[in-house]
Amino acid sequence: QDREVTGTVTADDGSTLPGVNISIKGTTRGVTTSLDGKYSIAADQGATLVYSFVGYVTQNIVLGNQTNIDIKLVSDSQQLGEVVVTALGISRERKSIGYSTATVSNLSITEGRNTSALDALNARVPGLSVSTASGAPGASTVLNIRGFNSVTGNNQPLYVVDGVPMNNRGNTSSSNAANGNDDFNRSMDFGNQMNDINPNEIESITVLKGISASALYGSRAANGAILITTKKGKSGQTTVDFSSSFAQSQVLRVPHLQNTYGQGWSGLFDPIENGSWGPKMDGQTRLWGNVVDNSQLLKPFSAQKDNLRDFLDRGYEWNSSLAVAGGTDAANYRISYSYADADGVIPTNADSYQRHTVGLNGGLKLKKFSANANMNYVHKDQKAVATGQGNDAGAGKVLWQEIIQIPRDHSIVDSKGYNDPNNPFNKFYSLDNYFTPYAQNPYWTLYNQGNDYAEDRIFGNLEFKYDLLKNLNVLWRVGGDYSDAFQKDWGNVGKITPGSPNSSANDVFGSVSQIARGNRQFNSDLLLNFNSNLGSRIDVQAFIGHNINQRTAFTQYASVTNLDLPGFYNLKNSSVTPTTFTTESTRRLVGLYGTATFGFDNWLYLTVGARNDWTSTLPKGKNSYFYPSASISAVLSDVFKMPAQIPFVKVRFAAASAGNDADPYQILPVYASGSVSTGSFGTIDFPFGGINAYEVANNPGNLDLKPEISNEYEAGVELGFFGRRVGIEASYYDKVTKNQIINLNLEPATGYQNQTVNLGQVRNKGIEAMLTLVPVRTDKVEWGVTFNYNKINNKVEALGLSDSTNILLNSSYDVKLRAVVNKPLGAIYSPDVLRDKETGATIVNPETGLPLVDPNEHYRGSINPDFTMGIGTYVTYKGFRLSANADYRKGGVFYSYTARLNYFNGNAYESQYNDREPFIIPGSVVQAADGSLAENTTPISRSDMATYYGVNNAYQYNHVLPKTFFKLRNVALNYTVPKSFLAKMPIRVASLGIFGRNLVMWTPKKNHYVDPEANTFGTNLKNLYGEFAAGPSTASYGVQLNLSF
Amino acid sequence: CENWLDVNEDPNNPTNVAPQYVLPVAQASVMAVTGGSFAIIGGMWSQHWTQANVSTQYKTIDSYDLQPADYNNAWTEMYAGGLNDFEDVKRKAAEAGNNNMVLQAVAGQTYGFQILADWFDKIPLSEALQIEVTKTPKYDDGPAVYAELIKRLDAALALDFNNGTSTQVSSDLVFGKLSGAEQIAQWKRFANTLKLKLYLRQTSSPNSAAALAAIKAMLAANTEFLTTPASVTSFVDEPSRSNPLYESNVRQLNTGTNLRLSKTLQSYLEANNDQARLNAYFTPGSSGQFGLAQGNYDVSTSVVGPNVPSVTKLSATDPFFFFSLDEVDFMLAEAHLRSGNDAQAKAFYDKGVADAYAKFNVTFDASKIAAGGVYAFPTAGNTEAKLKAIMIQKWVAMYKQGYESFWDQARTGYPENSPVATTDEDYVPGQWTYAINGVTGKVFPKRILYTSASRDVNPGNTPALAKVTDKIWWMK
Repeated sequence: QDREVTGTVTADDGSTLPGVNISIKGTTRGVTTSLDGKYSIAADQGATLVYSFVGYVTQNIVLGNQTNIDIKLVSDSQQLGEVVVTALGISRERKSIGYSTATVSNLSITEGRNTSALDALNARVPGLSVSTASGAPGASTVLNIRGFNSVTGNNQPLYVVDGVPMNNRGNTSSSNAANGNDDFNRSMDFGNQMNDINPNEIESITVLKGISASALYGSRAANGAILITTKKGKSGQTTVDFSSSFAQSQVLRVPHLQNTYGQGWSGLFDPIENGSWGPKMDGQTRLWGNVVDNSQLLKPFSAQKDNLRDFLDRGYEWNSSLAVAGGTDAANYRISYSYADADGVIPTNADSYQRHTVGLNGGLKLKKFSANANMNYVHKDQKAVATGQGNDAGAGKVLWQEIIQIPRDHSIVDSKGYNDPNNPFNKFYSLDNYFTPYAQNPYWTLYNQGNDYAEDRIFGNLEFKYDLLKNLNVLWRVGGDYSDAFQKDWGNVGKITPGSPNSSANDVFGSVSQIARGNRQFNSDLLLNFNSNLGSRIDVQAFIGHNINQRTAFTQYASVTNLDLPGFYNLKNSSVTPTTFTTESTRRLVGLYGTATFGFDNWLYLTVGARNDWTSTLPKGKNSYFYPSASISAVLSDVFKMPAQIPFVKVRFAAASAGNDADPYQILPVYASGSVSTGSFGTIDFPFGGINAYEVANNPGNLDLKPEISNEYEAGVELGFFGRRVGIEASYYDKVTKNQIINLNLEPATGYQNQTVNLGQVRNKGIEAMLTLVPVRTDKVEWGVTFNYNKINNKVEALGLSDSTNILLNSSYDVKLRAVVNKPLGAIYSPDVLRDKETGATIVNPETGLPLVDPNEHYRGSINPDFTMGIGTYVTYKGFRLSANADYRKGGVFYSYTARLNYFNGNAYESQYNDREPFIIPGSVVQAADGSLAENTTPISRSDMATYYGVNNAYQYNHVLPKTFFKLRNVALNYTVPKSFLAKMPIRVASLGIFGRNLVMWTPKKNHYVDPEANTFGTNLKNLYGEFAAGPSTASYGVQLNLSF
Repeated sequence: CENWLDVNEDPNNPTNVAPQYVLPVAQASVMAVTGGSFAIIGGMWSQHWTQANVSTQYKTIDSYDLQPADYNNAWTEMYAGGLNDFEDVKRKAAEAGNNNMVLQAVAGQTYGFQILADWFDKIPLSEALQIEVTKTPKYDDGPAVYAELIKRLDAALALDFNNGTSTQVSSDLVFGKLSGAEQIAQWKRFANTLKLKLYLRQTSSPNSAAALAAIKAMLAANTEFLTTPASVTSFVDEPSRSNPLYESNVRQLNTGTNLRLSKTLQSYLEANNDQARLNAYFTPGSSGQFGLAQGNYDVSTSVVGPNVPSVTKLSATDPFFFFSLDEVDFMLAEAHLRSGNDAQAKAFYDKGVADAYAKFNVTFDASKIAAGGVYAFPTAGNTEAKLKAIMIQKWVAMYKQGYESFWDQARTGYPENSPVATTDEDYVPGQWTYAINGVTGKVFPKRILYTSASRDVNPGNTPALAKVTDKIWWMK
């Protein structure tokens, strides 16, 4: 006998929850809570009431004889929500979904108080890899879902905010601005645009991993999609939320260097060398540096173990946000503002970040018509310290390179005195007299360079919905993302006085460069939605849609070098010809798509979908492509009788295909502005000698270009045990991307360097598993653990050329990143010592005892990890909540220029073999002219030690380091003040806490140098090659306060 | 809808460019690589300069320890930056009937092919620069390359320049300031001089008899050779508009003093009391002119201080010579000598020595070549002695064009290779010494390795890995 059950649903913070779904298990009946969280439902005794709401743990209550049930829903940090957001912002019941998705709630995103919401996803979702380029404030974050699919194209997921695709331009900016973000020259990381979203305004982030999940977004979601749902105003009481946090940051890892040998070269002390190839440090007082005015500095010849740490400061990070929200049945609003302010660990504000965000959201709901508007404004100011390789002809040297070249017995901070008139030693630290001509005083580098990056961005959407019929509505969602960024970068003139001790060093000529960049994206989706029960056992949810997307971009660049007036950073401050260029691009896409989900008896769901795109970037007549998808989900526990311990069993299977277009302007051949290389460093640019010129561009175009196609199969199982206190979710997928649009290197003798072609095939097979445990759940205490595991088997299966089996993606000092058939995508190769093929003995130069170089490259490993694991845990006790998460990535390699330079200048820990006494390479041989081998008897001399470790090409592989690491990403302790305590105050909810991020990092012994996540170059696959004198990563810890009124 | 999608024409780059706007950048590519990275290795391997002991940039060159990737940029810039542009100019200029421009393109392109052929031996030629035919061009054998290059020059020289459409090309970086007729005359001289160079190159090869006959025929026909330098002089002292050697070795490097005086050249100039040229070539170090023994880059700075070895004198506005006048003189001296006309050989030798001083604005003391002078032509000597005199003077003169004397030495044996180090009392000043850190077992280098830029994408055709000591086909 049905009877009426009533009650109130509240959240764990005490607020009432409107809109909570309450259904009776095994039936189609259900209600939602009202604005004040109240509900009323008719149900039989013994029926199971299911309370579910996005972002909260679903609760099941078996109805006894109560008539009033008040429920408190616990926020879900374990992604077990029952309703999930799917492609195009359509909400669907989780059980009906035939593919893997994961939702991360606001609680998880904000607990570590990351300034970047993307960084907060680290280690939380199996199959999602998150890499942060450096510890600098505002640094780029690279997301990758289910491995690298595209050899030279985009591997990043599509970002979607409230149903509208967003730009995610990387703002890594190099001095070679025309080339974008992929070379080793001086470059600055100004972050990627998706880091601009205020984490506090995010309700949840849903990760659509497979193509089946994301295919309806079309081409651009072939690498998966990240759906961000922002907070909306809720009807009911007006709320004011304030939250603020303050953190300090400090360097996490500086290179672990030798502390035995001091300044010098060839084993001898040398007061002006930029390396530690000198004798053992003995603590004796020595004169060092240059002789200036017949005087010289004195210091003990002993290690300055912490000279790098001493150079660095503590950074800080403020994050504050304020939001007002409220509404009625017919209208709701939310207004928010946030401010983030951070300064990194480098002295001065040379690495700093400020961000203001404003969000306005309003909705209107009439009888048949509803509308919603969402507007966001972001203003960002950033400064970043350059990394990569310096350029004396331009902005000058790069800080990290100068710091690495300081001998182990030197203090770095003393050099700060160069511009302090009261420092009696200041003259010894000037450009003219700094201790070595081979490197620059890093403080001079720091104080005489800088940059400003400012960006204004508006994004948002309008959504109109009209119910045509009971089961049929039409929805039009139109959105845009518009940004303008302005960047200025400068370096001062640094002339060295002729005849001064450092006169053999180069003058720095100084430069100013300015870049303006804009991105515009317009997107429209028109959707016709249909929902119906066909009879009592079958229901249908279907829609068809039409999509228009346009993306335009522009860049304007101007730069001058050879500044005349020191310290005046203006494009007019030079007599040389400025370097200028402008680019603009437009791409357009039209799509038609549709999908239908058929539900049978509420346990079996079949979804079919398809999309056709027409793109502007492929050749006319060949620019249309179609791709289908299908998935099945079966909740077996609803059909078969399961033991009570196993209340939930779901299996799913999906298959889908997605097409992808090319970048604009790859089809037709063009001419490029004349610029020629000298074959080594430098160029000659036109106009030259009063003559302008254009050359045949390096890419001949390709009128046969086709879309690239990805196909994916996916199978998964979701299990719940013991009242769902144990949850297991596992997926297996097999994804192949064919006809890849690759910028293929050509034999230069063809007259061209590369061509955009369809070549090759990359397969990713993977297993993702997630285990959720709640070992303790009592009235007072709850302890939860999540554990996730991800293994990707990535392989290049074909590159399509009969006579070539690899593609060069990146290289530095003969260490190369390649795509090679039968290897993982992103394989690192390096030279090796020449070895006797039979015995493996090292063949050396009989004159020097140094190894000869094998001209063949050797495989060193791939940039992909063997597997990754994430672990998270939380404990709640009364008002306290302690949470932590960590990740472990095993395997993979990366290139480290920091390691190379430390080997070169004798600071490397590993350069202490045999006490640096002459030695014969064990087992080495010499080869006579007739090819015969004999035992080598020539030891490597002391004077050749630097060559052995630092210059010899044979040992480049020492600079390829393991990528394995463990990081404790977040630890947070929060205390929510009891309601009773606040009863007489205007404050509704108050919580405060402490948190830490990246507090611990472990790397294997082979990596003494850098954080394996460090990267200098940007956000593409080829940029994950490694680092080129990248800055250090940081650890942060702080306090936070949250108040609701 | 189709129209709305029709936005894929690149707004940033032109799709059709008249050939006079392409020619200068083609010339610049060949100039930049020849005068940039090839000038560095050329000067090092002909022992004008050596790697400094305070830096490392060119250690692998100075120890003959080349790797296949070392000259990828040069290979790429030549083929995909310059020779392809010449091909475009050739085609469009021929369509327009401007045979002046066709000749300029053929001459410039052939010059570039020759430079590559002499460094690499086999190069793609017959199937090169035809992407519509093949993306994997084959490599042609050295002799076939030479024969084809001469054929192309002959064909271009035989064009009708009075067809009414062979107009002046003002964008020509070399002779662009001349009138149309003068320009055609100069480019004909350029092409003839290049032909002579190609023939002289073969004098020690299996093809020497035919080459010698061709040289004699050219001289007998009073062929006109260059009488002024073929050079580019429009450099200014600013980034990316400077002499390529200065730009690549000084301006764009973080150490501008990698190239230091080689003891080999110093010993010769000092033995001949030629301080004037030494001072014109090198800025003295802190203790005067000081040369490092070739390849002695590992000597400690506590033994030889960082500012002690003399530094190459390079200027942003140094001209680049496709042919310098002294070079043409010495080529003609050799050609006449090999044709049996010793008097003409002496005349061009004497002129060559004088022009070599003039090239570096050094006052020439004519007594040096007068009878009894240190550089006097060995009139009484045999042909070999005369050849040696020409080659040694050419070597001294080819400073910053060192690749030419490197190739001359590999073909004639002059300057001779020294069996002993410069420190040995038996050392003869000017003889080339094996680099102190050489890795090739006392065998001098002969060539650059086939590039990985080619092997990586054209492995079926790129010849098997050569050793740095393997000879080019025409070498002695």
